[in-house]
Amino acid sequence: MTIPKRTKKTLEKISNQYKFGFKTDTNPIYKSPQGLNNKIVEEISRQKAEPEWMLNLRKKALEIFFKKPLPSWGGDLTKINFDLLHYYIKPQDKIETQWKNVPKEIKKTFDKLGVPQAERKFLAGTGAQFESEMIYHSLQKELTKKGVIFESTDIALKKYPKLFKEYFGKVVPVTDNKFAALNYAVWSGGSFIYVPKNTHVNLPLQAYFRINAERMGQFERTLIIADEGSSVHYIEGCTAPIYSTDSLHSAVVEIIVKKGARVQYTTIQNWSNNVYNLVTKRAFVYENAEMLWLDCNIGSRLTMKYPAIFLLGENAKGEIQSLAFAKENQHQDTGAKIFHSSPNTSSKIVAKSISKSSGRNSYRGLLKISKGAKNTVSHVSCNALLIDENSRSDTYPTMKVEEESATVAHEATVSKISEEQMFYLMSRGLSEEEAVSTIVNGFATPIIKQLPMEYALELNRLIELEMTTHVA
Amino acid sequence: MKKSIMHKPAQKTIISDDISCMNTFTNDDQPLTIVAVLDKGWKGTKTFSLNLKNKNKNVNFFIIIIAKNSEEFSFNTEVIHEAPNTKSHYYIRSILLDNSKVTYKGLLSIKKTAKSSESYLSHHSLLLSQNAKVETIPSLEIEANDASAGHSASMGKIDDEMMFYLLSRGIDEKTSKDILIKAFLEKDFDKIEDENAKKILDEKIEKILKKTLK
Repeated sequence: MTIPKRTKKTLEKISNQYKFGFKTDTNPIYKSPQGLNNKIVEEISRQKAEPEWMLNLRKKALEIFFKKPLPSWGGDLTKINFDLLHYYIKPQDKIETQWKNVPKEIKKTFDKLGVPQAERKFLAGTGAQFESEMIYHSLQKELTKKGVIFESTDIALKKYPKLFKEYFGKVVPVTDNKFAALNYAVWSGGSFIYVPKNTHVNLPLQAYFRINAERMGQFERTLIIADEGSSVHYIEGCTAPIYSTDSLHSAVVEIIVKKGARVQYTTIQNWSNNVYNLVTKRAFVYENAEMLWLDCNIGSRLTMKYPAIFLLGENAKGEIQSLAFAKENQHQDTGAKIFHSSPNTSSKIVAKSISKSSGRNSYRGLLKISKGAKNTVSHVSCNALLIDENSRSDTYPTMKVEEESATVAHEATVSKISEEQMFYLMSRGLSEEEAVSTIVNGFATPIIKQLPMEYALELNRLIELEMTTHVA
Repeated sequence: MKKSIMHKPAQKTIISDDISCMNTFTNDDQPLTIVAVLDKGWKGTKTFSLNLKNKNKNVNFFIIIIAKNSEEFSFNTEVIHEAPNTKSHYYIRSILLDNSKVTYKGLLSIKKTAKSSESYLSHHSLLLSQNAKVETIPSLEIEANDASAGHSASMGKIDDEMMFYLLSRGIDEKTSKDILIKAFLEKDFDKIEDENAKKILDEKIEKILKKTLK
């Protein structure tokens, strides 16, 4: 149903500002010239004083990036001009572990975003990435004592070379796709997490990613290893200022969940409207282990992201829950991939999307049950909500089953806000906008309620804000 | 009191054992039901495209696949709703034996002009052999918000509980299995209005199953 004119007027009065759209003037230590070539890759590696093998890997990746064509499916990528981007911006020369030592301008940015406050309240550790580098990283002392590693990926390469080399690039190979190759070539920052055997990190670890400069490419690299019987919850958040030019964010996230371990990876993506968000996320899950991707995409111009789970051991469990919100000029091409290759594995995908004012949501999924993966169970459900007549929703799920004993079910629905629902709520005294907002919130609640409380509140508020702004 | 008479256009039902019957489509506003019972595979992929340009057109497709040996059933269907108040339903059920393979891609597309349209697709498969393979891609592209669309798909084996129920009532294993397979294939037939057609279909499926499930 269309939002009535009267409501529109009230809504127009409410500010239509993207809350995180401010920018900060900073003096970066180093900023790579626009464009991408071997020289820039060498310079990045030199600045980071990396070992030889990493430089060679970067160079090889760059070749692969140039060779691979842009994907022909998904969103419109032709407008990205790779020659205009800055691929590396170094805001300061070291990582701080004390918040008070972070440079003033950067501190102000994160203060505005509420990052250190959050840490004091309910986090076991925080990282903050500004442009290309992590500028701040901290972890509770008890966890450090237990052997938990939570570092910037760059630092981890220096501090734990053996551990790093053992796991880096094992889940997402350099040849995987064009944007993974780009990440390999110019990666910088991101989090490296190692949780030792039977260790539980009870409070979430959080990393906050901020793009501040114009025409910026951010390529963080995250690697999480949960050793046998351990558990960890990692949360990432991302925002950027609004520019008329495009920025690119292309991350690679690799997760290894060993026997009996559990990892939850939560994303609250709220990039500004000029950011292309092209991310490769993948997890290997072994015997009795459990992986949960909780993926909320509110921002960006175009997001192409399909978190994947490979169930490689018996009784492994995988779950992908996502919520996408697309409004004017936005295309959220998101989805989920699950590969069952061991017996008694189970998986669940819940994808919800809300489209409004010409926004477009696409769900693209793949579920594969290989021969020999006996008694596997999988359930996929996709629900789309269209708020007005210009929005669009697509669903492209693929299911491949080669195993007789598998049980697979899939369902998808596309619906609008029904007049009956509106009538019910309004007859109970709710205004039109409150009624729309209530219905949308009710639709999104199954996903939102799985977030830690503070984030759930924030996301609820965000969706309300998104619902009330941009109604032109 | 004046009696209002609802005029209901006659429901045309076509039954065939060849998938090309999916092309039997007329550009009028007559409701149409097509049922295909397929027990012979083919090589390559067959594509059936359908444009709903006439208002109020209502089409129903029922496809029953009984796949055996090394036969392959590969087909795509596509329906594009252009006119308002159009309806399309695809009900596809397949059972797979031996080394057979079913590959199906179904697209439902509702354009902005197709207000109040309804489109639904389901593909349910029963895997009866370790070497059978099934691939399903049900897709949706919805541009009208005043539409309702959905799809569902499932793949699985014969439900243990249902088997147990029948066995516990003294029915032997083979008969129990046959009953469940037939019931699985005919589950959507309650949506066919033509009673006579239903009877013909039931006999047809019974005959094929007798031959196939030895």
